[in-house]
Amino acid sequence: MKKSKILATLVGLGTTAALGSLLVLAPAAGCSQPQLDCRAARGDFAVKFVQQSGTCTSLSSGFVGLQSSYPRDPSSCDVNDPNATDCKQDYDKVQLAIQSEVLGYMLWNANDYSDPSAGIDYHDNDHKPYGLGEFRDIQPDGDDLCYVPALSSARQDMIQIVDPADPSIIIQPPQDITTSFSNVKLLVTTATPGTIFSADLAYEETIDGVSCSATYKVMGVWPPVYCEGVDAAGDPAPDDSLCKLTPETSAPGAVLLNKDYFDYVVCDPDIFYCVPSSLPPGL
Amino acid sequence: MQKRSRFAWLWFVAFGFLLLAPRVVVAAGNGVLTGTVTDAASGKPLADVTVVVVSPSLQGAQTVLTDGSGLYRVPNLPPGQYSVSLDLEGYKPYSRGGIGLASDSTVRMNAQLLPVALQAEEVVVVGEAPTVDVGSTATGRHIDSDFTSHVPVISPNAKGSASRSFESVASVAPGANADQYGTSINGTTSPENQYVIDGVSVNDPAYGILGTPLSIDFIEEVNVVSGGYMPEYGRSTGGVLDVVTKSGSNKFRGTVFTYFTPGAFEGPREEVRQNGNTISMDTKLVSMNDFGFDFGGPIVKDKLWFYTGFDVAFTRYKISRQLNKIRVDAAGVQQQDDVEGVKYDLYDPLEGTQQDWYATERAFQYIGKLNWAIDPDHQISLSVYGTPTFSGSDSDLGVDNQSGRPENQVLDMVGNLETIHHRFIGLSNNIALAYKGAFDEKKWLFDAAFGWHYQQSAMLPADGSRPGDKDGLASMQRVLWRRAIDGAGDPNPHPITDFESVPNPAECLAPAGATDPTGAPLTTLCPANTYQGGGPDYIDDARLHRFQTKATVTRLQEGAGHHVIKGGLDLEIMKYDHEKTYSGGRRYRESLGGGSFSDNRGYGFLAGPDDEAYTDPQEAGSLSTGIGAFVQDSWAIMDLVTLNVGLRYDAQILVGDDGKLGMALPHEWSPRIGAIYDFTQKGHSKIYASFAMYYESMSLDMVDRSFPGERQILSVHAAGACPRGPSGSITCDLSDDSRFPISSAADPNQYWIVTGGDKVPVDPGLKPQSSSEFLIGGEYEVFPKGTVGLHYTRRWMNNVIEDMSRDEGQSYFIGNPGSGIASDFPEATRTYDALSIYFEKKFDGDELLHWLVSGSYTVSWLRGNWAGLFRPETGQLDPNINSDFDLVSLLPNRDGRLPGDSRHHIKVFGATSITPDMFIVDLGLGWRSTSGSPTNYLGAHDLYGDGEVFILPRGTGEETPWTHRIDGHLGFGMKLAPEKTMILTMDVFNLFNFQGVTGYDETYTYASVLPVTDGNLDSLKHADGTPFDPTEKNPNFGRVTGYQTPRQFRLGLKATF
Repeated sequence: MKKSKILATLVGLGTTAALGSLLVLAPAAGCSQPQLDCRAARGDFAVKFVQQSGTCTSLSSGFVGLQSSYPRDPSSCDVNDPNATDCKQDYDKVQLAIQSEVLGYMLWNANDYSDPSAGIDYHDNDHKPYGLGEFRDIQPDGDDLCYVPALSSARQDMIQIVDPADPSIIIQPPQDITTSFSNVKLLVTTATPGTIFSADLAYEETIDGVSCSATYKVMGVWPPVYCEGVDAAGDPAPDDSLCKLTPETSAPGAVLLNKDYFDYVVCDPDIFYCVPSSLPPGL
Repeated sequence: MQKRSRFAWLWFVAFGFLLLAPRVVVAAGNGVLTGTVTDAASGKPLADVTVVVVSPSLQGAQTVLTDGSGLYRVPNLPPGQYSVSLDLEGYKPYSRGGIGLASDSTVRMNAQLLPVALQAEEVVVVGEAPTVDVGSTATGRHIDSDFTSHVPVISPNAKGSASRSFESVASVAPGANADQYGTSINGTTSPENQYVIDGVSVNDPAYGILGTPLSIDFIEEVNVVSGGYMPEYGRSTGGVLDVVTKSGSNKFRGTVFTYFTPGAFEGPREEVRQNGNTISMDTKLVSMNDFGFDFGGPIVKDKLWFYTGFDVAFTRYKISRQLNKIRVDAAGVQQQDDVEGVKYDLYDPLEGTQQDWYATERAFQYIGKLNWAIDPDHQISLSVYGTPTFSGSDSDLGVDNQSGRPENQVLDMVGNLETIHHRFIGLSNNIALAYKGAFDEKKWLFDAAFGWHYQQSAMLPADGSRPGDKDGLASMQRVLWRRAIDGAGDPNPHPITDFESVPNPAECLAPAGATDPTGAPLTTLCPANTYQGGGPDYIDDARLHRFQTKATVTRLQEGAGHHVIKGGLDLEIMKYDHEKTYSGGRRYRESLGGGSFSDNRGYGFLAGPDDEAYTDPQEAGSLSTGIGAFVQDSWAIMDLVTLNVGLRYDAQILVGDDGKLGMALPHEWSPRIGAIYDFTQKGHSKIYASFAMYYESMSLDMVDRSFPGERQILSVHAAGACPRGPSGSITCDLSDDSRFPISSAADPNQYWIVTGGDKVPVDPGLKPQSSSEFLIGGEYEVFPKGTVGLHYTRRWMNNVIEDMSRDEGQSYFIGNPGSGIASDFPEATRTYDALSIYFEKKFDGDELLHWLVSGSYTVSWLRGNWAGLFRPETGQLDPNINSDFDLVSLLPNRDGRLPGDSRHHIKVFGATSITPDMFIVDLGLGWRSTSGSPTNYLGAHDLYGDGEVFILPRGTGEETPWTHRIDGHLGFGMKLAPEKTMILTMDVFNLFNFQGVTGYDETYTYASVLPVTDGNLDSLKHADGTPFDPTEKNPNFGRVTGYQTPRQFRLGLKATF
């Protein structure tokens, strides 16, 4: 073990010995369990976009991906070396990345149809499809809320993508879309660790020369639960009851929503996934 | 001056005992001799009687005076044979020898003194030989070196058996049985016990199992405490194994010994039929042998004694590895054997492909001890001991640290043995320093102790490279080759020739049109369906520390009888520094179609979207700080009934590698209360009852894996970007260009998935894990040194800590099943009831013949839905975070007979030692019979895999049959001179080579199914609700999966001087 490790061990032991004696002195003080750090559940959230202003009609409901992470701790390694394998996480900072599937699908089209050997590259190498921001505090406030006030804008600006076999087939018209999320709020408790959020969204698009912009209130819940049922005629229809299944009423391994959310979700008729129609207090 | 001459003759008595007494002794201890002295004529208590206690185990003599009520009490006595003499002006001197005192026990020896004036009759005061410990309600067994050197107890197939570790000795006690990781006491699991050697806790700080498997040759006594113990012992929901090592004495004394277990003499074994395979490995024990010595004596007589010992043990297994090819008939159809509906693939050996490999282990043991009696009231002892163990080498396979088995029986080693095998290090070093002081005529006692237990546990690459090294085997990634199909979906496994060369490759070519029994085409006759190539995979190095200090004060107080009031404080700090990695940073896993490799395992984190930071190695430091305090009173009410009342307080905080609090466990109050009544009032009997609460000390594996979490990341590489290298390895291009995007369109990470956990949330209302016990029993000494007893025990859990998920594995938390945020989970229960009847006659006799007999019959019931700190069904050892309670859909049918629920246990042991003239003939016998264990009906779960669903309630499968084992011990030796002997021994384990069944196949089906709620197998359904197809039943279900270990011999030679 390195010398610094031995020293660290001794310092660690010294502090815990002191801590231990504190315990002896104040058993009645009562230790409580640690609070969860601010975080978002990993993966896609099923979201509802509630338009506040503007002229666009593109967004109603869909999917948004959230990813919280701790950055590299600069005191543990060379943070600029991508091959460093001794980095530890910096637990005093939590970041959040948000990506709308709209920009994600643009990226997928660029992946699928670019052909480096033919010199065709549709990628927007100047912009990222996700926005990145930092949590205001490491831990939830007194109402169990975590805040990411500001995030960078996400944007994808691409030329027209055509089918290489038949250039008359347009895969994706020229489009430039920007999503700017802000004022993100997540509910973080032991039972609901970052699985429901609200945010503001400023949206701008220019598709095939036609521009518009809009602002939305975004409400999202995790995990995405599929809720397509049938109506009286036997046609596909949203089924709210499928959003409220429990382990006892569903097959093993089924994707289920936290029962604390049952009062807030409905089955969205456009995407047949459960999305919030209202939110818990504070969000 | 006069008093001394009176006692001179006592030394003859003492010397007499030396001839037949145990050869080596101890010096400072915690046994107590007490009693009341009365006038034989009037019956009145006598005060100020001089009581002198001597023993070969004791440095010097201990002297006290009786108090106003005639009571004397001599504490701090080490185990051994004692003589007590009483002297008072006006009375005839009285003495009694042959009083055996075991560790941590109290023996009451009352006496009546004859007035000198009384001449009328010869009042023969028959000095009784009391052996019943009348001060405590503790159950269990004291197992001393007399027992272990005459009765065959340590069989050669447990962990540490090459150096004859003491742990398996514990299974002699009623209610104690071997389990997979040690000894289970009263229905609990081995990680729940407290293992203490010379006052220092030697549990593994990460897993709770025994961390120092010290050889029985260096041990004076193992005190197996199975229940009913006072609050001085805490941090255990199982039993306590309290070990006292040997000490020096006033004479120079030593032994030299060697033992040998030849694998070749193993009895014929019943084989379980296995399916054929391209790679087959057969493992056999070659031999175990060890050499050692111990030596002790005085540095200053009666004041300073030393003791030292050393042992080195070697174990060798042979693994015969053979390559085989599928047997096809003339038409090219794969051949199978059909045995009662079970089909076994038939293979034939490939010529010239046989290889012999060896798994080897070298285990060292050392001990050094000093006992210093500053004066009769103050003693200091220092012991330093350790058990460094190493296995494996560049060419030899290793032996797994936790289970003691060769690694190919624990890990999947079907592959390139040369590069995938490991070296293991399992060492522990310990220091124990203790001070015992007596003040005010031994009415005040003060004990202080300090201990340091250190362990290193490592699984390293065969070439000695270290986790994180950029060259050597530590940098070579493991590849799990498993291609099964081609683009069209037809079978297309790798032939073995893709990885290994065979003398005649043509033998592996499948003839045109060859098919398997179902008609699917065979592409090769030597399929490597799975093959482990590349490097050693998971490698780690763990350093563990435990620092303990404790202080205890005892006060002897009169008041409506007598009180022994004790109070104490202790502090325990545990540290677990764990360096772990997958060799080369990650393990690659081939896809079934062969088109890609995923990073199936790899430690690291994402610092931002698609910004991977591999950690090679991942280093985590976990810390536990615990304090304990207790107060207890042992009150002999009016000197008739003893009432033991005590209270213990424990608190523990756990801190993870992020430097932040992971879990707090304060306010662990455990009350203990017991009552003892000796109806003979002479130390020959007792009736007792007790109630106790116990708390678990959380071990650090949970902290290491949960706080801040075991972060792993995964990506997928195109096979074309991963060219093959030597030894079944690959080298993948690591740029994102050669990775497949593996996520959804909305995911900011396109090429990476985070697997493994974030910091696990803890229920704010978490309650510490604890259990309660009720005990009632009686004991009676029917003849000198022979006792019979009976006791009934009931143990149940109050709260259990486990990790759980309420959303089918999407997120986890730690809590108490059945309460707090997990109140929608069933409560975790484990209930144990047992009734034991036992008898014991200690090793004793005359110059010609000594003999011992002991035995017990226990009938017990163990029911619940939680087995303990490891899962017996799978062997998963992850205390408090194993897969019990993980998913709500896995919870039905879990309540019932637990795997350890064997109804009847019979144990009988006997030994005799005959010493005519200069010869020694020893005979020993052990008989154990145990009724069978329950089995289950298991199915698979979509997420968690095979054997996780209880189709029918737990324990409703067929019970395995009774197993019997008879062991024998034979010794023949000579007394070459007084104090010098040489003896040749032979132990035979499973003398009659009983091949009892040890398990049945419990997998009813490999299909994913739902638990049946009406107890009727006909209503079994698949996970998707469709009815179960009877053809999906596992044809091997209910068949035997294992037999008892066959007969084994251990030969030994021991010289004593």
